[in-house]
Formats: sequence, C-alpha cells, structure tokens
Amino acid sequence: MTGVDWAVFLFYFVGVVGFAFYHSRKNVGLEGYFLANRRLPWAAIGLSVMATQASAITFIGTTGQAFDDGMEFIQVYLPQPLVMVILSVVFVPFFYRAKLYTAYEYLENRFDPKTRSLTAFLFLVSRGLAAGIVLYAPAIVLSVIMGWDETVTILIMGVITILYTIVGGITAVIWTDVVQMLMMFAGIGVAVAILFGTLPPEVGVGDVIYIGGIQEMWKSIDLSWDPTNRYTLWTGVIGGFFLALAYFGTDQSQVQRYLTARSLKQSRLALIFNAFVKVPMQFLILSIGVLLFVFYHFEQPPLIFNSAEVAMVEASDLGADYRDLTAQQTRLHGERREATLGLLEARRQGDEVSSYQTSIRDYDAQISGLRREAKGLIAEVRGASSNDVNYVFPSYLVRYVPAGLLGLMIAVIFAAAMSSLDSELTALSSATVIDFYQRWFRPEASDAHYLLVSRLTTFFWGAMAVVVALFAGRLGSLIEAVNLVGSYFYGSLLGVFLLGFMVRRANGTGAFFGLLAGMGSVALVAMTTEISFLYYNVVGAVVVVVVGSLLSGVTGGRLPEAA
Amino acid sequence: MEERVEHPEDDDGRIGVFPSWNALYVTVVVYTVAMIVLLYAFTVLLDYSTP
Repeated sequence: MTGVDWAVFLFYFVGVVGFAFYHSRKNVGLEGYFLANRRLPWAAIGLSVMATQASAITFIGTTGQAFDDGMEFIQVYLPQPLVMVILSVVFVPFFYRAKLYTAYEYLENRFDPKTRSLTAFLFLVSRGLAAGIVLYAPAIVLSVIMGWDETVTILIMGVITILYTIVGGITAVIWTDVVQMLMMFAGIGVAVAILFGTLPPEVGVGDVIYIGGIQEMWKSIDLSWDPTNRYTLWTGVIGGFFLALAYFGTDQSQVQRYLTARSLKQSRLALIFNAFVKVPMQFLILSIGVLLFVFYHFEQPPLIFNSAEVAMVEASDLGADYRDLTAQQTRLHGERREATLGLLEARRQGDEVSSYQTSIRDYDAQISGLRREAKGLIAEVRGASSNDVNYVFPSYLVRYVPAGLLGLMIAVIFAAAMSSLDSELTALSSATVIDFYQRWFRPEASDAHYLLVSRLTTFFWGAMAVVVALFAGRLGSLIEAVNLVGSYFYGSLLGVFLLGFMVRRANGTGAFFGLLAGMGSVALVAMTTEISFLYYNVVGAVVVVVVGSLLSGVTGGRLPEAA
Repeated sequence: MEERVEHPEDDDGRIGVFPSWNALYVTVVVYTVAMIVLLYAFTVLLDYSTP
C-alpha cells in the first residue's frame, strides 16, 4: 500500500472511533447501553441490520463464489423480503410491546425459565465462537494477500471494536454500522467501476455480459427439484426462508437492533428497508465475481489465488508438477484471450461466432481442470482440502486497484468485519447479563451495577473472540464442527418461537423437549441424508412445532392463568 | 396495548407514499415476485452457452 492508501485506511479508523464516541454521549443506564434508550430512527437500524449480516467473508467470499459458480447464490436471498414482512407482522410486535432486552426473555414469559435458558445458552455458545471466526477469516486472507502479520491484523480489528463497543454500547455500534454499511455500498460501486476500468478499452458493457453468458455465469434461477443441489430456487425459497426467519427473528444480534427503535413503526420500517435493498445489493456483490471472471479472460489470473499455498506447494516435492500446471495455464490463457477477442470482433462484424464460443468453453473447461489439479496437489502437501475462493477478490484488489482506492477497499473489508463483530459483542453481552446474570444470580442489583457487569462481559466476549481468532488456524476441524452444530439448532430455535406464537396450548415442557427433538432430528438428517444444509432449518422448525404441540397436549397443555 | 396508546401511529395512517401497512406489505410481496421473474429473465436471456 502507498502512503495515500495508509492515509485513507487510518482516516477510516479515526473516523469510526470518533463517530462512535460522539453518538454514545446520550446513553443512560443499562437500557441506554443495550437498547439506546429506544430512541433510534429506522434508517440507522435498517443499515445496522444489513451491516450485521454482511461480514467480511460475505463481501470477499461471495465474490469469489460467483467467480467460480456464477450468480446462483442469489437464490438464498430471495425469500428475505417476505421474511421481513412476517417479522414486521408477527415477531416484532411481540418483542417490542413486551419491552424486552433479549429475544429469549419472550420464551420465559411464554413458556418457562428452562426453555429461555437453553435457547440463550445455545446462542452464547455458537455466537461466542463464531465471533472469533468473524475476526479470523478476513485476517488470514489479508495476511496472505497483503503480507500483514495475522496476529497484528486480528488485534487491530479486535481491540478497536472492543473499545468502542464497551464505551458506547449499542448506540455506538449502530451508528458505526451506518458508516461501515455506507462504506460497503461505496466499495461495491468502486469495485464495479474499477473492474470496468481495467478491462481492455475495446471491451464494452455488452461484451462483458456476453462473455459471462457463454459460461452461464448470469444464471440466477435454477428450477431443478434436486434436494441435494445446494442452490436452486426451491432450496433458496424454502430453506433460505426458514434460515432467514431464524436468523432475523430469533438471533439476538439481529433482534437487539430493532428493539432500539423509537417506536414499533420505526422497527418495522427498518426491516422493510432491508426487504427492498438486500437482494439488489447481493446481486451487485455477486456481479463483481462475474466481472472478475470476464476480466481474467483478458489478464492472466493466478492458477491458485492463495499465494501462501502456492509457495508451500512450490517448495515441496510436488513443486515441479505445480510449475508444469502453471505453464499449461499460461499457454491456454493466451489462446483463450485470442479466441475471446476474435469472438468480440466477429460479433461486431456480424460473422459466425459459434466456433469461437466452443473454443472459449473448451479453454474455460481446461483451465478449470488445471485449477482442480493444482488444488489436488496443494491438498496432498497440506494434508487437507484447499479452497481459494476467499482470495479471488482481494488478490485482484492488490494487483490492479490504483493508489488511494486500495486503502478504501481494504478499509471496507475491515468495516465489514468490525460491523459484524460489534453487533455480536453487544448481543452476547446482553444475553449473558439479562438472561443469566440478572435472571439467576443478581435479580435485584442497581442499574449502575448491571451497566458495569455489561461492560465487563462485553470485554470478556471481545477477548474471547480475539483468542479464538488467534488460535483458529490450529483449531481446524473444530471450527467446522462449530459451524455444523450451529446449523443443527438454528431451525429448532425458530421452531420454539413459532410454537409460542402459533400454538395457544403449547407449554414449557412441550417447548423444551420439542427443541431437543428438533436438534436431534436435524443431526439425524444431516448424518443419514445428502440434502442441502438449507433444509436443516425446515426440518428443525417443523419437528419442534409438531413434537412440541403433541407433548403439550399429552402433558395437559397450557394452564389457563398463563394464557 | 399500552405501547399502542403511546404510539398510535404504529398501526394506523399512511406509511410514506403507502396508504397503510397492508399496502406496503403487498408491495413487498409483488416486489419479491417481480425480482424472481426478472432474475429468471436474466437466466434465459443472458444464456449464450448455445450458439
């Protein structure tokens, strides 16, 4: 990075911290710390909801995914507008009018303390570890691409986020999220502009769309019914619907956002804002990946984008094999480039293009085959599978983005990570203090006492995230296990809330054991079938509602005085 | 109910250019269907895989 890049980068940090402190002045007591005294406007909350969901890996990993597979991932986001409507109509009024601090309090009001504590515990375990991954994932990418020390990157992101979250609470978090989300919007626009700017001058917008279309990269809707296919319209609309409903409706990191609104109307508007903006934004992020795919028809891409893995394999006994693959890729890329330019010229002249199209598809297939072989070599050296999807976009940034804008784009990656981490920290802290400390240990302490404990728990979870991030590289399969377990109970968690909202006779025993049955069913389905993980949420939610209803009926239903 | 007294605008009245919440929700549903149709049109019209 040049001096200008560093200046832009530092300006981001100073600006974010200053903004956080400025907006946190009006916080009063525990309600101020966790709920901003319920006085925030819908626009700030709406942007914060988006920023919380969009982590750094969303930003850099999604583009890499589109580079490899095209636009099909968009289908997962398609039900989100409908989810926002359901949240506005069903979930938000329950949460907001009860003046809750956490989503899990509702479960004690509706069922019993053990159901509340179990759901809050599941949230703390999964989000506590996931917060570390939010830091680790971009840090490892930046360490490879920029050559930065991984530990220093984690510490900078972690310490600054912990600092402004401890001092400013949810107000600081939401207002910095606003800045960070606006930066991400700017980053998306800048990335698209830069990509077009780095294409050969004779290649226009129509040409880009056409080249992408040759490999079906714009294919956004897949109507096949195969339940093992991860991204189809049906897995997206059905599985994605339950996933989004679980995430936005029951995850404290999201629920806490719309509890800060100055009225129920403002809460709803924040969600409806997301309903309109989220899918187009995701479409643009994925488009960056397709543009990269087209761009690398004119500029030679690295065979593997993770330079650390390339160095590892080149230094091994398989180094000669890898260099041979690279030589083949160089030759094929040159031929593909000529064929691509020939195709565009033939189109302009109105000549026959089918032979060019066939050639380009053949070259694409051969280059993809070389990438698979190279990943196989790396896997042999590493002793674990290799996936460089998260390195595609950052690798482009470092090689082609001009001075000043590179600093902005790296700041955008930091902003994406920090805007997710800060939300996790306030959510973890609120669930720890409200659902456990206040509920079970100190129910009658002063507001000042709870505020102090809240700041300490924010620090604890922040430190925990940093420690997990620092050791994540050595945890390996444990991280995968955490993600897997998370996907096991997300749908089941949703099922408990749906049971409470929809089944009048449901009781605490039904909810608690229904939740356990839901998680067990998802684990069974995951181990014995090949269906897409998106369907796990459907299975979990349905089993909890059915088992919870039946058990409630068997155990006498809900007591009249509780109804 | 108490909260509704504090904020009577929560459920009633115009929501920006929309006459009611229901009108806004219906717009979101129509918007979602329109996006799916638009993306399907992209899928079909921008498929140049067959000459």
